[in-house]
Amino acid sequence: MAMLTEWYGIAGFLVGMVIAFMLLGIPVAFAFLTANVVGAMIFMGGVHAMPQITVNAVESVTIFALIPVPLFIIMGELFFHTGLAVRVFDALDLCFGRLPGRLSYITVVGGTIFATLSGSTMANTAMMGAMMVPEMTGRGYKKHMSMGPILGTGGLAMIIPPSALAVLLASLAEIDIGGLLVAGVLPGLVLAVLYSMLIYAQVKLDKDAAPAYSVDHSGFWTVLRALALNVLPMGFVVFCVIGLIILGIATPTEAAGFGALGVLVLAVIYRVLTWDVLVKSVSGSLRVTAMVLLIILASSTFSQLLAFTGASAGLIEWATQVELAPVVMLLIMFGVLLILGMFMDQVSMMLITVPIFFPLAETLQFDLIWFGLVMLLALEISLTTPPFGLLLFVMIGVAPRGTTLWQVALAAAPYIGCALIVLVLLILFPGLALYLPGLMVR
Amino acid sequence: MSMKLVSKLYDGLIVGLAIVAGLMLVLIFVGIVLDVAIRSAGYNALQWYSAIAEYCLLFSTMLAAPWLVRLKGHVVVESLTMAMPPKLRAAMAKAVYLLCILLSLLFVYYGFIEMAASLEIGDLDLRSIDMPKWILFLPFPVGFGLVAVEFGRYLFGYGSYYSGKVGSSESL
Repeated sequence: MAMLTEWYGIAGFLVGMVIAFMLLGIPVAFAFLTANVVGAMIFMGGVHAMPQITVNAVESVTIFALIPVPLFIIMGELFFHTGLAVRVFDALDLCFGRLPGRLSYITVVGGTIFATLSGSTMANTAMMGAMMVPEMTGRGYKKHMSMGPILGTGGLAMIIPPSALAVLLASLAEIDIGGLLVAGVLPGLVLAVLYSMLIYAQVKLDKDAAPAYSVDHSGFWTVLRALALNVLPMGFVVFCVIGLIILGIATPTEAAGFGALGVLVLAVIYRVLTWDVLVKSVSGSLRVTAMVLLIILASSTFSQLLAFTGASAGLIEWATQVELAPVVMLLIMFGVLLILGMFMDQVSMMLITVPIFFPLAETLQFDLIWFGLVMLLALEISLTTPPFGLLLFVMIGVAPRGTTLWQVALAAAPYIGCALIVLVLLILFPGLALYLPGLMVR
Repeated sequence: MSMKLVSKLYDGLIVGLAIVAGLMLVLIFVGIVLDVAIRSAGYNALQWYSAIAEYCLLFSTMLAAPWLVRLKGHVVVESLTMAMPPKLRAAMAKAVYLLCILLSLLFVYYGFIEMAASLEIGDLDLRSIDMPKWILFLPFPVGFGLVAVEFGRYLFGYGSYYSGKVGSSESL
């Protein structure tokens, strides 16, 4: 127990306990609850801490800053269940002509548009996988050309607003939610451009990777009409979310409400809104919202434990004493996130690391919005790292039978490379993330 | 009452609470749109909206929690347990159900204690409108109580909470 008097012993014990409980198969929310109860028994005066844990728990989710989370989820669910998502792809399909690798490009462009309309990485990947992989396999695309772009662009939803995860991160770290949402726009777009360049290079290097096939030529007006009908209106919804925040007309909560309303209005106009769609969308939103918020509620005492025991303060004191360059510290934090991401979900990763990393980032004088974005990037990458990156398994679920984890991970690898390039760009040019938040009218 | 009827009523309760939870999400959505619309029309903002929406977040989470246990919707990491020999895995699962039941009962108890204490002194929760504080604790005895029952079903052999697949969980 002597170890439990030093900050590193306490921090290791608390974090280790949560991870160990998760690995034993305790549902994540209950793993956090168990760790809190055990931690409180040891460090916060035994059973006397229980009322405090209870109060912390109920107060942790009754905060206004979390309202955009269900709203962004509702928006994405409506977008999928109404079939509006498929229309985007159909319209894009007309635009790409007989380009080698066209379906890979369509995935990147369509996936980026998806990301601006939906806040859920998992749903995006599952949807694109189910829709595009069979088509690409049928056209003779090699596995890395079909699965790679989907895995890459699936993760974009986490960075490009509306991102429910960004709202959670900003609210936990107590930074400007609108700022973090908007900060993701440019890096997300750069990432999409890098993905397209990657596809171009892959097709150039190996002509058989994505064989060209003949497509019916669509006239200019047909293409324009399809875009105007099926892509442009979505642009209006995107403006509702991103534009209104930048212009300072709406708070993130209001923007989220209007984003969801926008999709609903489009669904009415396209006559695809049915009772069944509404029920499916609300029930899907409830599943994700309640699951995530229960984890937030369950982990509410965790950050207090880290602070109360001196673990956070000890870490920060250590970090200021060791003479490591801030960028090295950044890379260490980035690495820790990647390792955690190999076996746990994004929300848990955030809850474990935010109370430690954000005070540290503040001490290192990082801009916290910029740092939040770097964290989101790490969370995105860790979705596709083996052995347990969640998107890899979503992909195996929709890929042709016999596809191995190894093949999926290999397909994702070059896309992780692109994300790492964006990390370097963010370090060299912080303005990439901070330019748009700087324009925000507050 | 026959057991069949009791079990039917109980299932109805779990689904019914989930429906209430879903309607609360709808209320959060409709409320924000109304609030903005009313304000843009030059009237006063809906004073009650933010307090009610905040409470809805907690209530919908707790009321849907038992339903999610039934749907295996609470995210769980299965990478290590899957590597265990089947007998150990089964024993481990039972231990986890038991732990979840005990934890839930612990929070039923403390939720109830806090609720009773707030009721007794008439404590108020100061938000955009003042709320009686006991309401804040009400979802704990209800939600965690039913979560305990749902894990009890797994403990006594009504199927398994585990899917036996890595990465089957949902996330954002």
